[in-house]
Amino acid sequence: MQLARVLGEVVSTVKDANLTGMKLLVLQPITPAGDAAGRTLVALDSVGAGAGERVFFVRGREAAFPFYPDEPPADATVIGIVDHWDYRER
Amino acid sequence: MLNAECQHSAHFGIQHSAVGIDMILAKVVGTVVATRKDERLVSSKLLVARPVDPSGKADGNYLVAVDTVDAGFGETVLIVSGSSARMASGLKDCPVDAAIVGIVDTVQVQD
Amino acid sequence: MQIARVVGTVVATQKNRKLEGAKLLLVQPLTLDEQPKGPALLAIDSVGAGVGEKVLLVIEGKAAGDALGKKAAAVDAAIIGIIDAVEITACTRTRSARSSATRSRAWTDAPRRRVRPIRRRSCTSPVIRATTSTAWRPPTTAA
Repeated sequence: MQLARVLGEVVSTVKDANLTGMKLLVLQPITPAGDAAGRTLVALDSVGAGAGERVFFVRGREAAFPFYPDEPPADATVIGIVDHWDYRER
Repeated sequence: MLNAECQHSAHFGIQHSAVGIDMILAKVVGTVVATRKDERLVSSKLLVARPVDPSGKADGNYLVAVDTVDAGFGETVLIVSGSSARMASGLKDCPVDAAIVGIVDTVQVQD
Repeated sequence: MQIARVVGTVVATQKNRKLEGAKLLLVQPLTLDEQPKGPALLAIDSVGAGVGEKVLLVIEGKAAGDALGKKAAAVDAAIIGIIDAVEITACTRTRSARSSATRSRAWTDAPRRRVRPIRRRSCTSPVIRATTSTAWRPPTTAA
């Protein structure tokens, strides 16, 4: 899983039938120090996150598990909203 | 440097990431000792391997894999990664993502 | 698997139900020279690792779900061991070809054979393994 900041939402009317009713968020993966770490991506939301919040997301096949028994065609899903983290750079 | 003997295509074992979904060639460069670990990994041997291309040149980052064939240092081995690693002998329920499943005698590539 | 260092902890009250009770740690994957490699990740801790320790990290969904102990959990990384030592040998000589018949034996549940000594006599590896000059005999069991 990786930390990310929610930049915004995506609205898409024409999409795969299994994505109907799913909220799509634009994420910017970040390092624990808060810097950007890679390209932005779109992820499904399973916890009700909003723009500006810091979240963590899972990639790959596991991205469909929060919606079981549905199987949306996703490769990234937000699975938690971070309250805070402690980071000690060695 | 590897000598040519068994026949494989030039695509065999080439990949660009350390842990992907392919079966790769790698050279054993070290071991990892971890006393405190998941109980299903107790008595597993963990080796550090560096992926190589068919000509024997290092080709990517290292990875740590469970040894199921008693490989030694410097040997070129076959590593399977991803969830397929759990199909290696004795690793059925182990939380692993890379396993050494064979020791390479020779590789032949026809360009 | 990869080698990583635990660099922090994460607290998240609102999260997927299957992650309740799971310990989430921030880990930084390392190269063999202990330099950071890529971004820091979150991983499930199943072995009780602490901040600053070097750990064994698996980045694969089913393995991570097994480490968490829950089926179909939405996790893709887990700490499965705390590393005591990493030993890298400088020896890179390739052994000569040997018959495939002797090398195709997979590791089985059969009783363990003796540890094989390192074959390359010119190897200056810092790793020390047990070697024996007498032939190995199976342990005698009381009748």
